[in-house]
Amino acid sequence: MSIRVLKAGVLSTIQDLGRPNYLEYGVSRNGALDEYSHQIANWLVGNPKSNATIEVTQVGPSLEFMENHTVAVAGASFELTLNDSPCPMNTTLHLKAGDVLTFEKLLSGARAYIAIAGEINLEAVMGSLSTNLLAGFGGYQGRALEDGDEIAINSEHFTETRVTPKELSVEHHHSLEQHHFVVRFTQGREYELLTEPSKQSLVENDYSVSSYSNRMALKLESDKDTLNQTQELSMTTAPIVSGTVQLPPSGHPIVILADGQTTGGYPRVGQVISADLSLLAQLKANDTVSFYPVTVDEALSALFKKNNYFDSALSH
Amino acid sequence: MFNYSVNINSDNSLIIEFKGEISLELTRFILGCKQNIEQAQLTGIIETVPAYNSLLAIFKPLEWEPVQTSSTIEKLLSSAKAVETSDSEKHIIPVCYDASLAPDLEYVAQRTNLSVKEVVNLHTANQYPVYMLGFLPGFLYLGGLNPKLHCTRRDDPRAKVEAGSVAIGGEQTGIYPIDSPGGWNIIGKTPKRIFDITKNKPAIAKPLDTIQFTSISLDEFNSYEH
Repeated sequence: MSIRVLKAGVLSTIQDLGRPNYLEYGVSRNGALDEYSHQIANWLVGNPKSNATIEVTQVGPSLEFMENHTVAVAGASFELTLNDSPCPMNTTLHLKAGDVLTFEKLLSGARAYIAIAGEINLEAVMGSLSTNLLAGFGGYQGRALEDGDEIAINSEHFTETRVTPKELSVEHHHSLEQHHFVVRFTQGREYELLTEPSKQSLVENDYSVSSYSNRMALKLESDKDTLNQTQELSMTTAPIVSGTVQLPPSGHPIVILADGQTTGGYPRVGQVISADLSLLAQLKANDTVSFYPVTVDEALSALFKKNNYFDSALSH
Repeated sequence: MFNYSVNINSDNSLIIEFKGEISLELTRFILGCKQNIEQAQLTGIIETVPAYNSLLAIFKPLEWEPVQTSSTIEKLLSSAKAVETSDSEKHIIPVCYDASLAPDLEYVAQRTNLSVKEVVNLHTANQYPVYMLGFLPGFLYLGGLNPKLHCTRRDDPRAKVEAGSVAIGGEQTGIYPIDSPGGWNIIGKTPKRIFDITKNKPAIAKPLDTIQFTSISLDEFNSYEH
């Protein structure tokens, strides 16, 4: 059972919930950047949320299904076609051998997830199927999909047809179409080094996403001002996590994502909260983001609420 | 003993920051703290990541209670001791310093007012202790570079430095474990695999191990078997 990649798209990679436990070896966590959309896609085909999906970035692939497969797409809003006819996202698709599913125009957001009922038949590396693009391992031969690849699937029968509950996409992608996200953050270890005006700017500015952003980091810019520190701190390299907002000497913040370096030497002015990490995945060049300050307690209750909401909406 | 503070770093991590100069003694203590935390099997803990003067502990965000966990960790650390170095290993890394694999060796010699031969002799003379890993998969932060070999980084970093390249960047020496962009001065190359995904521990060395470079010929480099 397999899928043939007719056109790979710009960056289509195999991702699951990531590769914990190897940070001390310098190996970043990897995994689906938008875990919630990844979870929805898996639910639509009856998979557990830990199963690997194909993460699609802005320009999606065209895939030919060599046998009957049950498939679903969730996440960023794309126009899809099935054998050249329009086809919906956010619902279970029961495909026949020879069917071709194609990602057309991206309407909003940046990343979508393709789940196939069953498991993608690849070998886990360090406990995960996620692609580590930096070091070239995991996923499909350690790289993004290319035209002509064949992905083997251990297919499962799934006969139900599910639709993503409307309220869920509203909850999760509330502002996808505005091309602007508000993400919540807690203060980073060097937050207090920011000048008072820069503390204000951090929460008042709209930051536009630079085209140099990738799965390692989002590079942000404000046309209003740069962020400044009260003193130049000579930082010793320290561990960083997904969501760390770093401030390099340019004064333009960088947000570390799942493929980011495991250690860094720039001041950590903020930490995007776990509940909002997947929103960062849906930003692309020229979209904007702003930061809203919360406490760690608020961050955890936001995550608790969001996860509960998802789990109950996706319980049947 | 070292002073430290336990700080909530994010909604899923806390970071212990140690006071004092970076030293092997401090690294031994940080690893002792790491051991104490790991042995306690705290609720929701995923992993701990040691660095020069900090130690990060990552948790499943909905399975830990930050304030309570911080105070538990404070207690755990009060009995922390520096680890012994008895299980530290010495790794001999063969390096070919032939000009064809060392595009910046001549430049480093010029900058440091040494001959190429002297650079190689000094670089292979010292033992380099591993302080921490990070930056790239399997990258070792090494200490112990002879001050005579300190040499500022390149103004224009290379888009691709090949895995195995041995380099000097400022006051540090290191080995590129994977192909990556890089701004350090490349003075040689090892045929040895530095980052190996087939190994349970994919990096070649751990903190407190030591690295010694030994010079090999181009022929030995080309016929090297893993």
